[in-house]
Amino acid sequence: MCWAVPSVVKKIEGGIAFVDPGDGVERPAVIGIEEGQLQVGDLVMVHAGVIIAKVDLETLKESMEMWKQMARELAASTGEDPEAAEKIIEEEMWRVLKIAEEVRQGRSQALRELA
Amino acid sequence: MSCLSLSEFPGPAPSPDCFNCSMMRKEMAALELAFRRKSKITGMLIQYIKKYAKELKKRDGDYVYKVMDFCGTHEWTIVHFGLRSVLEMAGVDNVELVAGPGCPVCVTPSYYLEEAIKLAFEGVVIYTYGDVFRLPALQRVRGARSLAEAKAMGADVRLIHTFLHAAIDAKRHNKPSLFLGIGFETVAPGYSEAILRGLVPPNLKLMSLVKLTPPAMFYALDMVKEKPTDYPISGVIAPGHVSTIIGGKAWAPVAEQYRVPVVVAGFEPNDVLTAIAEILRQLKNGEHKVVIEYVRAVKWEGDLKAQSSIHTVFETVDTAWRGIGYIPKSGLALREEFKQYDAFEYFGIPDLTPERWRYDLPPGCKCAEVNLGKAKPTDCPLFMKACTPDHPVGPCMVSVEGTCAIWARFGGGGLAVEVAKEIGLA
Repeated sequence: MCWAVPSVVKKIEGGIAFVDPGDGVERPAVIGIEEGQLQVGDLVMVHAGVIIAKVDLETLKESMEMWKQMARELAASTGEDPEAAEKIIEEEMWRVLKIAEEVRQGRSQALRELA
Repeated sequence: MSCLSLSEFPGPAPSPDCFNCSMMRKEMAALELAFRRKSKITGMLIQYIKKYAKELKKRDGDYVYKVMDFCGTHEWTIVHFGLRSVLEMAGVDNVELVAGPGCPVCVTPSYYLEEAIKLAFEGVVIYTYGDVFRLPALQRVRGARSLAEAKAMGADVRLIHTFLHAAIDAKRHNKPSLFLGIGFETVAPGYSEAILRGLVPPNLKLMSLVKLTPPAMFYALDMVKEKPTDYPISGVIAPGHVSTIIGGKAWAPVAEQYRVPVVVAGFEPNDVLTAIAEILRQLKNGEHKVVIEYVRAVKWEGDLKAQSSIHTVFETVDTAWRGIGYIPKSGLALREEFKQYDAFEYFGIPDLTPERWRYDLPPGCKCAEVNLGKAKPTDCPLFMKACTPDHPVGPCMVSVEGTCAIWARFGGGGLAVEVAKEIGLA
């Protein structure tokens, strides 16, 4: 039962957050985590009406470091260029991060680059 | 933009042409695509898995490394995206992905369901999540084998998505009401916070059936090792969203005691492939530590506020898992000071005890073995014969996160390849 839906916090009122999972309908959700760390506009994971985590897009960069390390290791073991392998991963991750950030800032036309 | 307040919820949906809503949809779509469209990374991860599987094979011969994906949502990702088949097609034949007991609907004892059906016929309003609605009990109660059947026969059973929905609705009608509180650690802070914040009306009582996952993981690892001829579990993909609450640290005893790598993973295919790759890397190097792959949502300590809230309202108790039996310290019951919210207390329901628990799966059903990673759904004689998603016999065929239901909807992954080979297509 790990199914959770990414949603955006639209309003916080009396210990309840109103969240939008992307369909434009706001729903009340119990704040299961520390309320002080939540702000309107935050991306959160909502499970059965409970906010269970705040998603930190910055940490995606940590994932990128892990994948880059893997790419380097794999390339080295197969006789390929580790730096080239790392660059492929870096370019791909930065591309999606950049587009996601642009769309978050309201430039919806950036979506076309992913289509 | 129309914003719903708690007092008027549920209300009409906002206008579909609302500018902010439209932006939100696009933003969410972009984020989803950002996670999914990384095919080069997927290819690299598969190469990485292939490389380590090959090195392990060179070292250990035909030994099969069983990796348990504990969570039903991980099993969904594995089956839905065909990860088993992909690994097989990549020539990885010494790594087996095994489903674990990570579906709370599948492991809720029939007893509690039967008691809820009984109360439904006595005029109590029953609130339940959608997948519990169709869950079959072992015995019929006044002709009904599920809450869905009870509703069809006139009982007042209401489907809700959240405890908050039930609280708001129960406050309106003020009739005696029961919320069937099924779930793992992820739902527990929702229950405890709703109680602590005074959101639960006096007429709504909670039947706490919350289960804790680490004790079940210990149990499952023991059970798979039960047969000396069987391969033990070599690594575990730990549940991502449960871990947002309990933290990566909760799995340290599993890694230490069983000397197996544990990776807390997210739910995109690349998350799961990364977890498999990390487990194989550790196995190759003789390591056994907990790694959090799902860093965008999980911290080592978990959420301390949620843990404190849960601990304030609930106490840890031994509890029964359907078809499996009692697992020590694997459940949450309301503490004495919160007994006014307790359905067992209010409705006089005697709680199940180890002495009264009886094996509660239908004849022939292998859900317990499937939940413990000892059998695949296709090992069950009922699978897709007597037991189908439309007519579930066993509990694993009900929920969207039940292993049998997932295999029934999407196929078993590797089986397609086997069949293709048998008929000369591959």
